[in-house]
Amino acid sequence: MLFNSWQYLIFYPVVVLAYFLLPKKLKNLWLLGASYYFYMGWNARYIVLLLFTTIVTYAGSRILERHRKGWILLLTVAVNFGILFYFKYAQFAWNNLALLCKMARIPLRDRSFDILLPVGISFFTFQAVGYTIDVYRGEISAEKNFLKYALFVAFFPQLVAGPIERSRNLLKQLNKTYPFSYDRMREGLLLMLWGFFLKLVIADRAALFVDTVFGDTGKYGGLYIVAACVFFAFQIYCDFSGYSIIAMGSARILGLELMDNFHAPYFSKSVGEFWRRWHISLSSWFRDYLYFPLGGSRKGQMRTCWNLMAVFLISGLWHGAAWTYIVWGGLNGFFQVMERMTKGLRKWIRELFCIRENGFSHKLFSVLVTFFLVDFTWFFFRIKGLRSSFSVLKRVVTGWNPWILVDESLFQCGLNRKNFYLLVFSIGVLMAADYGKSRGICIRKRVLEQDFWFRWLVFAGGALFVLIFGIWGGTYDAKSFIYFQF
Amino acid sequence: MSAGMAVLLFAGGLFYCNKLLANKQSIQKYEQYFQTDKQFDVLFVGSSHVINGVSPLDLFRDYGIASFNLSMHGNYVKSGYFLLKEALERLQKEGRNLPKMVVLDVYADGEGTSNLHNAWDSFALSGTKKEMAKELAEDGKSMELMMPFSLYHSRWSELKKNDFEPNINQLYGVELRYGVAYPNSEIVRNPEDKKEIQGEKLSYVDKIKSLCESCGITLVLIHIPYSYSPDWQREANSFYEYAKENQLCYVNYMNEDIGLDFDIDFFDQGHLNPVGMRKMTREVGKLLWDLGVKDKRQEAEAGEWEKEYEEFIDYRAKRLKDITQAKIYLMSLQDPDLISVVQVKRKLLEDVQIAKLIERLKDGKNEVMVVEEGDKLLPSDGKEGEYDLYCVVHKKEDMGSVADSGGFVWEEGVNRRK
Repeated sequence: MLFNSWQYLIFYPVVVLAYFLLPKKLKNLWLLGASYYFYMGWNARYIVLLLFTTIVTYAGSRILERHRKGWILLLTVAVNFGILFYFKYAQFAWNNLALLCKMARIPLRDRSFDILLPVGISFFTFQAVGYTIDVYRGEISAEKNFLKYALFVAFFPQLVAGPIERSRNLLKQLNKTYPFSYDRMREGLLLMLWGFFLKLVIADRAALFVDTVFGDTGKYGGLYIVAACVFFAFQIYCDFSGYSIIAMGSARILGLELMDNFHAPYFSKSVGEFWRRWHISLSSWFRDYLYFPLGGSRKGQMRTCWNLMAVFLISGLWHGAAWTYIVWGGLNGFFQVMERMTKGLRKWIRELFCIRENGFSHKLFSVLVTFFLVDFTWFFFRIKGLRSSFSVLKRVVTGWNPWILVDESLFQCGLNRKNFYLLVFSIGVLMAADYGKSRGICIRKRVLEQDFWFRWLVFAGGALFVLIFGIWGGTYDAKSFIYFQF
Repeated sequence: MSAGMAVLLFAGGLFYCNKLLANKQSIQKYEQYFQTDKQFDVLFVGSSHVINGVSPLDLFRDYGIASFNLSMHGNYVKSGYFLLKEALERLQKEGRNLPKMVVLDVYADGEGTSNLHNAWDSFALSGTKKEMAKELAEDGKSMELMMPFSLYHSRWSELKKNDFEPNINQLYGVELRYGVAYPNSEIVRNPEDKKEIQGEKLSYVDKIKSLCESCGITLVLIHIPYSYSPDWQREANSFYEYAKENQLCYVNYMNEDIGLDFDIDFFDQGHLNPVGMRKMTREVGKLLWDLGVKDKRQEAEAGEWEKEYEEFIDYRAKRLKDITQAKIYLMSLQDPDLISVVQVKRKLLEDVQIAKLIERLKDGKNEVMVVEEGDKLLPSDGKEGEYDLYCVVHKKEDMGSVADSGGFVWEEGVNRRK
């Protein structure tokens, strides 16, 4: 079930209420049952996969604790990634193999695997594999209580779209149960409210514009696509961070603290910094379990660049079984490699023109350039098919139409004038909040410190704002969170 | 404590926003029914045919019958059953008398969800509304019928003055649609030309019958004329048998000579214009009188009905000023409470509808002058020779003042007010 669905609005309060009413011994069991029910809301049969991954990694980790053998780890990881590969990449791999065979004139029949991708499989597989590696490294001891471990893998707020939690954080918290706390509830509700604002008011509104333009790139060229790319940057950010924040809020009320997955990413001054602020749980997973084992940045410049490219190409593939995602990942890696390689040159230019690295103008320039580069990569994330991406890019360059910025044209792309301005205003609110966050100001905490009447207004007014200005219900089909597909 | 206040604040805000953002069709239609404390002896149930077909204000003036027209655009027998049930439950809840009679138009079925919204959005969520949503809404849309806010929250960008101050219908559920249209399909006027009743319509008529029986209400079936969908017209002829089997009174006015002229008494092919409505109301009044509905013109409440009828005349007189087409203007002069002086050039009478409308005005109450070619009209505004048609209109009870006056030009079928 989606967070922005009637089902969740009923499911979640029932889970919370029962959780606090049940005796301590049953609390985790209840959460596990609720999490499995939550997952079965999409496809009941795939619960078997979740259970299988849980059993394999649980058993593998118990064995690894006693016999720290590399082949046991390899086997456990291979089984899990094998499942992931079959469900997510088999068709893609076969299609590419067929293409290669065709080029080499080797006969290979077309084959349709016709597999329905299990929701959130990349998330729970990575979480479970990360735990197994932690046990192998001796960073944590293997969890003996199967139910507790199963809850760690399947905890419903973060099950299908992250954050990809670490055992050091979430599993440890499951050792305790938590009584009801009014303060936690307030904080959790405020987080959920902010998450719904991001998802319903910004992401789903931006989607109306983006889908219109990308849905007919033959009609829309030039600055239409540029505008759609800018809105897509905010759509995907708000969609994903909205989900993560609702997940954090949902967990917070239950007494659990999930990791913050985004830290004002569009205020990054380099692509490298962007990836330290964007989808932090995945970036840090790749850092800890892939980049560092490959040698990280300790083995010279060339090796570092190679490692970066490898990590981001795989990250691209993690996001989807298509060449556009690989290009997207590759570009992100390439930009970071270029940042490293041009470090000296950039320093020389700054000194030559007496540009202060910490000056406002340079920071602003860096933020804008980074946004431009990241947004360019988002283009490949959004476009369907690598071939069409090049023809659409050509239309961006050749379709000179600056007048659309001053006439009414932009209001004919899925959003009327009022909705367009509301979207721009809401993005302004988001950026103001993110600016505060990047300066260490937590608006949520500031709100909770205020007098009661102000808190009422924020809670009641915020909820009404989201209900009225959010895109939900009626003729509109609530869009799935984009990151479910990964 | 503060959480409770936040919830209260939120609930209050939501209540206000829910009202403000809602589609206003339903509230405009039913608010008068919700607010009035009048006792209605007759309730009319049906679709837009009935909204434009039977006027309670005329019924009271001519027959002393106190009634309300519950019908709604695009809501047919099925929705009518639930609307009637809801209306009766409301009366019972408020301890008011139930009507003596329900008049149901048996036209069509197959309500679309948007039409259900138009009828139901102002009704609070009740067991009947839930039942209606479950049975009649298209797949996946029952929730939006029960909680219309889920649909209308996005209306914030379309709000107009009418959303803040809704224009409530004060005509007991009736709408006057000003227009003149020719029929565009076969008109079935032979009671033996029948077609089997389709769909679930009959089962819902049964439900209405049972509901009325359980409340001691007499059910009367009617079929108001129109000039499209011959199959629907044929189906209406099958209701004779049904009515006979169930000992119900049924009048299919398609087959009755009630003086309707299909060339000039319709707004469009489906709906009567105010002149057609008056004729229809007169016939329904006769029927109800014959069935023994009480004449209340001598009772205390008559004063209020009379006052409202006076306002109804003013309303019709005012609407004259907005009419820009000659034919529609001539149609609207066929009003028992208006007296007109009409000058018309003979060339206009070549149009069949205008000729018929002018002919009808020659009833002794109005004055009609046909001006020959070459002669000029003598309008009271002094613009001699500028018009092809000129009218001066008075209210019958107030001959001293002019309710409206104006001239029209006629150019190759285009007839606009100048």
